[in-house]
Amino acid sequence: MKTAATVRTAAVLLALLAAACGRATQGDAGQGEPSPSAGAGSGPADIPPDDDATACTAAPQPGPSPLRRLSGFHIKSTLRDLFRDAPAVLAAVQVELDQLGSPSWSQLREPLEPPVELTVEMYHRIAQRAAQAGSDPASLNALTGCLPLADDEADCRDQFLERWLGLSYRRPPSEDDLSEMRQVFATGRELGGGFAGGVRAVLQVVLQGPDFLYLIEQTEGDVVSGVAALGPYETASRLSYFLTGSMPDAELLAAAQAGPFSAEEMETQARRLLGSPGSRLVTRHFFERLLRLENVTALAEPASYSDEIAQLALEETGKFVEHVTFDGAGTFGALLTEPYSFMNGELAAFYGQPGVAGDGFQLVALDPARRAGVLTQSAFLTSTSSGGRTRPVQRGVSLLTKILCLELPPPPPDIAPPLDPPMPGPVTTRQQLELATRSVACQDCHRDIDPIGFAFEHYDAVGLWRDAENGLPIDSSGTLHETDAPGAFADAVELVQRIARSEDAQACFGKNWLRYSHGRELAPQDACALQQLEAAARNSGGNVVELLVALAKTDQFRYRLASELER
Amino acid sequence: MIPFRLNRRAVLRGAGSVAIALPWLEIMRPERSAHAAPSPARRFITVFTPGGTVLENWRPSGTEADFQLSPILAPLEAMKERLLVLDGLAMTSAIGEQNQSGIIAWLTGTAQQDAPSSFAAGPSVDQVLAGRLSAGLRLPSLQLAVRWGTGKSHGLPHPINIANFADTPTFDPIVPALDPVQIWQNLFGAIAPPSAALEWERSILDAVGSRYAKLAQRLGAADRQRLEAHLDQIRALERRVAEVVTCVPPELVDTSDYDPAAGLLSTDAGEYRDLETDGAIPKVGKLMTDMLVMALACDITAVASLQWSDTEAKHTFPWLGLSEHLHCYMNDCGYQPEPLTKIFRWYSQEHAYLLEQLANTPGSEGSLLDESIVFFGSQMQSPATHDKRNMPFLLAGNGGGLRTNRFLKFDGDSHNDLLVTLLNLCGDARASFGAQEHCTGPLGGLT
Repeated sequence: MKTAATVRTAAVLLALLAAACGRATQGDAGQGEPSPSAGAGSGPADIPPDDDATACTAAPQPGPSPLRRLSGFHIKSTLRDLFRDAPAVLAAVQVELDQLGSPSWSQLREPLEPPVELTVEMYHRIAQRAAQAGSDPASLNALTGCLPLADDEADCRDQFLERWLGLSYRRPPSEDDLSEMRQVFATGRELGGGFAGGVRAVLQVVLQGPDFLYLIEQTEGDVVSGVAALGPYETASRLSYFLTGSMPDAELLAAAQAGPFSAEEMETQARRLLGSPGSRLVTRHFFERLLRLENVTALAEPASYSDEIAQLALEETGKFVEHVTFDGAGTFGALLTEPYSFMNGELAAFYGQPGVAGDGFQLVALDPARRAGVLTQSAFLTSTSSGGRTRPVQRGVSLLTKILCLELPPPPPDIAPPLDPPMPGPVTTRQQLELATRSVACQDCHRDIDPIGFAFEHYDAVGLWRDAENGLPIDSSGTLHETDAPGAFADAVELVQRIARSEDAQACFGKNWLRYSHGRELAPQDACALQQLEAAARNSGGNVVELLVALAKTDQFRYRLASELER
Repeated sequence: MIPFRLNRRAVLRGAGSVAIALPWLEIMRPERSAHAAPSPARRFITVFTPGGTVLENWRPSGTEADFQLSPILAPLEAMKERLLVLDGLAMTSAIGEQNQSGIIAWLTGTAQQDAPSSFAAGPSVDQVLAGRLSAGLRLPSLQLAVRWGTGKSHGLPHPINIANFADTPTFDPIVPALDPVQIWQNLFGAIAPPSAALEWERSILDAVGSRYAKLAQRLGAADRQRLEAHLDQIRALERRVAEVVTCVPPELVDTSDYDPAAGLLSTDAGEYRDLETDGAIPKVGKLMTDMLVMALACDITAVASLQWSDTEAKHTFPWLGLSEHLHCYMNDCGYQPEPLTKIFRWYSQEHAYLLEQLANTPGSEGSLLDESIVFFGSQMQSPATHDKRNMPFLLAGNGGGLRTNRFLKFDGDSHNDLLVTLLNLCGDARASFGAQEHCTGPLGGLT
């Protein structure tokens, strides 16, 4: 039996190694997963060197701006804002909104790819139900803002169109837009009956249309040195979706109406938006996407890790990153090292943490020798485990690629698992893995990957602390090599503290935010922006809000490459 | 992929408009493991036929999984795979007047309160289920009857003609709807014809598509391709929408030769004959069936009952060449199995039509029949002796995991246990129903 177990284990480990190394080279964008064909300059070979002191020039240097579709997260937030005054409409699409928030709905996370059948049907259904509910008397007045009296129905119709298109298109409607929608209104009026029928038709067309679902940037501005200035409404949308995940609010739209945004204006608006509730959701979403935390709900084993606990674990990490960023120390380092977290009664019982009761989440001080920051929380640890066991290679790869932005090559194609006789007596995961990867060819990669994963061996497959495994003491020591803060560590806490001091890690954090906010992989033109982010981090001690303000001030938000406008 | 789409649909509830909505593919639902329980039945239908059966011509032959339909059941051959024949159950709770107690106990499992003039001592299963299955729908339940109120009921509610009893403290008898024109108007009057809804969706998607096409022209080359790819999807969607129309009110055929209130003129012994109305029974029965099926398809309700007359059934069967009324063939004129078999065989034909319509009409996930349970019964088994043992019960449909295409033989088990099982299959977990002393627990072997 031991033999079979060992062989199976080796095969499992091998499969995991292959999977892990294979995954490493895909750029894990936060908000979207751009395909390799996404645009010029994507792919690891094109990542600009960090130490190019002359990266910034006088002329703006935006990177590529491929047409982006709103992600599921964006659509959910946007619909909530768009129909804030018509709760019946939101109720009518509640099922769909919940689906959009569900981690498994992956189609809508590919904003650079064309939508698949299911996605288009989802849009269709949302538009249908929202339009139906919106044309009900209860909501009609809230949406139109006027009562269509017999002799001035046209006035109310035009008032509705101006307002509604302005909000859903995120820019003032042109005369062309208005006349197009007057036609739709007329058809709806005829087929659907009356004013309400007209409203319903307009709602149903707009909510499936490109002006709503995509960030359209037609930008007819002047071209200087191959760069075109974005219109102020286009900038407003980019900024708003970056920092709040939703459509521009009234204040931002008013600022856009006043004209193009200066760098100072960008800073003012960015700081304002970073004080809004939407920015907290964005922060949560960023981490969920970066660390692929949605995997935590897809586990079949162990059966004891219920769906409920999985949701609570996600909430814990969400609340933690939100609190640290906006209410706590506010730094990148703090996100990795703070010895506290958020739990409610049930989650605390899961962790074995005393003194917490009730349904509400509260701040809980943790043992600093055992817990430090987001990487020692159940969500990350569970999403990097599988089959009821810890996966040190997965944890190592995840940390190295996502927190340190290291490139890991895939395993060589002719790799074969060693067939060893079974080890006598109980073994730890570390012992098994070290045995399986002991060959020189394997150690090439695993020398660097595995110790990082071993650092977390004190946390089991669902993130609970363990002193021993199969009765044997756990060895979580190792050495971090490939950064500007190399050195030994005794366990995960020491490892994350080391990483928190690393400038490479800070730079990687900036890169990830750039990927998330732009919805694409890095490009050579991003070199200047990355430098600006690094400067902001240095000057603020790694403050996240300052990083995001600096990002909002980079050229990508106000310019795009003129070549992309050529028809 | 298209046939798959056709089997699913979503309906705009309460909008009064015909549903043309693309089916919501529930990809978010976690994969059900092999051991997960089937989901409860979504719809419950009862069908009452009067007079019991001719047992030797009803009972199938063969074994549980390999059985042959009898002469009376033969018209159901095409739907045999969707049938579960239940032989040997006894309506032990039917205590009271020999006919009235039967129709009273059939869906309630209770005795007649004080024979001969009162009703059930509990609610009927369909009414108990209405609250659960029809939550959020326009009607909690639908009760339809054809040529009802004969004999001594004189066309009025009477213990001989009520099978449904409300889930209220007084278990009020529920009078079925009788007038097909009024029923149609009530159910479908406010629903726009499917062509209008289709035209609506088409113009919407047309306008959407135009916008993508127009805007694509104004963008850079790479971006234009992206919008054009989306446009392709819109066009494909338009084509699919045209293929999915699920709520289609049935044609309201001319039933002016049918007097739904003919019962008002009936006499105790049934000498009053209304041959014109009797002759229209097949046509009206078909229309009632069509309306019942569409009421489910249009999500107007999820619980429906169809009653073929009442326990007296003092009407003739001209289309079968039978000029006496049913009760005459049952026992008034002496027990006559040959015309009875002809009549009961005809009812089987009507049952087959109902099941075919349910099987061919999309439900929420498959067909209506896939997610429904249909319960066929009568007030007794033997027309001659009013014996209520070995009841001629049929179940159909696969709602709640009902395992059909079988012939089950019970040994005098109480039919209250069947009622409990039906409740359980629809998601109501109670362990007993009706008169407690006749309950021993749910019947095994149905799933």
